[in-house]
Amino acid sequence: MVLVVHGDKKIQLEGKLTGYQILKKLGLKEEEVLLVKDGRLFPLDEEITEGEIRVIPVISGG
Amino acid sequence: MRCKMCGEKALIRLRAYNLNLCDKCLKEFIVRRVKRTINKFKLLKENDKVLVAVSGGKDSLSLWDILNKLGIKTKGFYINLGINGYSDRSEEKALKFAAERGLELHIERVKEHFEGLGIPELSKMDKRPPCSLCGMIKRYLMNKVAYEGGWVLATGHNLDDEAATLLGNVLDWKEGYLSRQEPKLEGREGFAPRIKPLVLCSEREMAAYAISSGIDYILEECPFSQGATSIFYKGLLNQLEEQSPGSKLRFYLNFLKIKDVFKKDTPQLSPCVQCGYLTTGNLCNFCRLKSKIKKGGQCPP
Repeated sequence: MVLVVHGDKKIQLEGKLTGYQILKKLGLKEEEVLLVKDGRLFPLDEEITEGEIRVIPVISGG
Repeated sequence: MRCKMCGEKALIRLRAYNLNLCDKCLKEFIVRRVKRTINKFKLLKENDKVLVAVSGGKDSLSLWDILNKLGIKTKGFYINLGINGYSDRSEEKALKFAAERGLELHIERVKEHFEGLGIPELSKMDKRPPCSLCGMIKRYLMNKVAYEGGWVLATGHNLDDEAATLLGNVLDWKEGYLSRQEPKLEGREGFAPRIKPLVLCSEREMAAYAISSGIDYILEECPFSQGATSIFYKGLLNQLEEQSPGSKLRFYLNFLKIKDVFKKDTPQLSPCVQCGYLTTGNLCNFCRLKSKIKKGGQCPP
């Protein structure tokens, strides 16, 4: 099971998923977020079945 | 996915350059890109010293990190805006960054200039949107500290910031703003030189740089930035970028090639009767606000 932490939300996803598939499931654009696992960038083409992925928004401003 | 530079496992794909990079090569790529930006736009002269305006966010802290790597003499400059909770948490990040690297950080507090009032209270009292007030106060203090210390002022505006500002200015054809949107504003009497060394680096590249470099930055957004037009414009530009990678860079760089057509005579400025810094009226906005607070909310004539 993959736990995706996105802001205040925690989403559990089952099965083998690539970073691209995680973005698609969450409706996120590649240009607007980064995925981080254990403090390091998680490549979007890599598969994951277990562990925690943090979604880091990159857009800021006002 | 392999790194195009060294062949190691790549961690990020930069579609605008059709480039996959590992951690180490990503950091080197961004540092080289900032160096190239400084050279391309002649942002700095030899022996210039740089005051880096830091907010505690990814762009400004990364900029400070990169300028140090390039061997440029720097000092950080943080303005505590007096926004409950948020300002203290962002100040902590700036302090921690400076302490860990043994760097000097100068701090100004809005509340110390305005009788204990922060941006939220000043905004209510002056009946002016907080972002417009905050921008005015930050510009004033950044310029004053940089000018009086003989520093070049550097801000962490990135490609997405510049492209979003450009889109907003083009939608309204604001010729005055378009003529002044440059990576460098030269210094002159009363004004310190201002530079934006990150204009060719996207927001995503800067976030990736910060994460790869282990920079502990504030992820939380300013509470007043919710629903900001600039964030909406960034979303629109990112839709374009998804369809056509490199769009943001082309939009901005091609604008810089033709921007001189918007050049007009700059407005006549005269010294503020209170602080002496140049302004369009008798009293600059910073001193107008100070006088208003001293007089219990009454605006001076």
